[in-house]
Amino acid sequence: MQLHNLHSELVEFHALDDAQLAEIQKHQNQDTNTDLSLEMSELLESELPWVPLSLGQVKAKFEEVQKESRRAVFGVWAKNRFVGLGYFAADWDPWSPIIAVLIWPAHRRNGFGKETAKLLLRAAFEHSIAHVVECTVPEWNPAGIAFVESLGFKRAGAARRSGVIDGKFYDRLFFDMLRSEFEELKSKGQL
Amino acid sequence: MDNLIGKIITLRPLRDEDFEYIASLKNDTRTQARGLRLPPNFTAARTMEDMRSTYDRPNRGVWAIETKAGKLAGFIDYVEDPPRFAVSIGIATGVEHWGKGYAEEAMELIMRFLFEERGLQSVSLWTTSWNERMVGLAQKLGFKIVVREREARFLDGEYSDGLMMDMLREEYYASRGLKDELPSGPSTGGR
Repeated sequence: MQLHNLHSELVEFHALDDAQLAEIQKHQNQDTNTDLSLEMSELLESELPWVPLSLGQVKAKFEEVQKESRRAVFGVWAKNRFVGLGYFAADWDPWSPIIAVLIWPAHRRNGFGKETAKLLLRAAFEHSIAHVVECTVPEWNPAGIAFVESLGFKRAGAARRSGVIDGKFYDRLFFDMLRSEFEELKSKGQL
Repeated sequence: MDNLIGKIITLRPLRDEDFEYIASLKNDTRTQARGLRLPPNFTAARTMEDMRSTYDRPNRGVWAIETKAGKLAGFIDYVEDPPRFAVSIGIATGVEHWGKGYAEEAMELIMRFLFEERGLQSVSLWTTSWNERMVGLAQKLGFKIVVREREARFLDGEYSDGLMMDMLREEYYASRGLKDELPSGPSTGGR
């Protein structure tokens, strides 16, 4: 008997071991021509995205994020390769968990992000009590905004002046998806 | 923390003997004191331990709201996120003190402190559509609803929207007819 349905043919979730943490450190310190370190900082609630991190610091950040019992960050694997990270936080209120997805730039546009989000939505609505799932994307990430809207999330508003980038303040956009919307999208085969 | 002195209340540091009353506020679901738990089972000792560890960190503050007659009416706090330009505030006052203008003056005092003394860019608060008193008071003070997370809370047997309300620095100064002496910071619309 299948104990849960958190699997798909395209992606799998795995715990982060030292090898993945080393890869994360490489992305954080070397992908400086992309916004990846900024996106990672969002996920890890780190305030200095430009700072190169040691392996010990990367490890400590991930441990810090997972201190709460209903909050987790884990590896997303596709075709036997480590392609990104998934994040799930229901520590504040399991009624309205927060999800996040981060796929390494070289692996984008393969459907891995959408498949990961789909599994996280199932985790929220089919394996817990969630009534609404939330996510946030900073204003400077139009690809991220287009991605969450393509999944069916609705815009809930924007926290103004949430951070600074390139000498300008930016807003943080909030999105939500109700259980009824998830069920409708799923029945149409869209999730 | 210095005292912040108003016309009808004073904001002063919390004392050990305050926590009996603070715990009673946390156990009264009507006050929506931060950290709502079901069943509400806060004790004075536990509340003191929780609050001391929460606020004994940089970039956070909490005050007791004391009436001019020396009676404890509630507490008000702020948490910076991220440091130096945005904070989130929270307030709770006892039901027997409602309708006397204490919360309004406490919020005005903390905003004066945060905008005029700390030089912050944005002050926000989270509440719910269920809490009409809080929404009305915040709007009266100039806060705007900027995020509406649909049905994100379940209170009193009803769905309730999670609301984020915020006020920007220039809105605070303009609405109070004050001149901002701080040199202008970054412009808005990052990227």
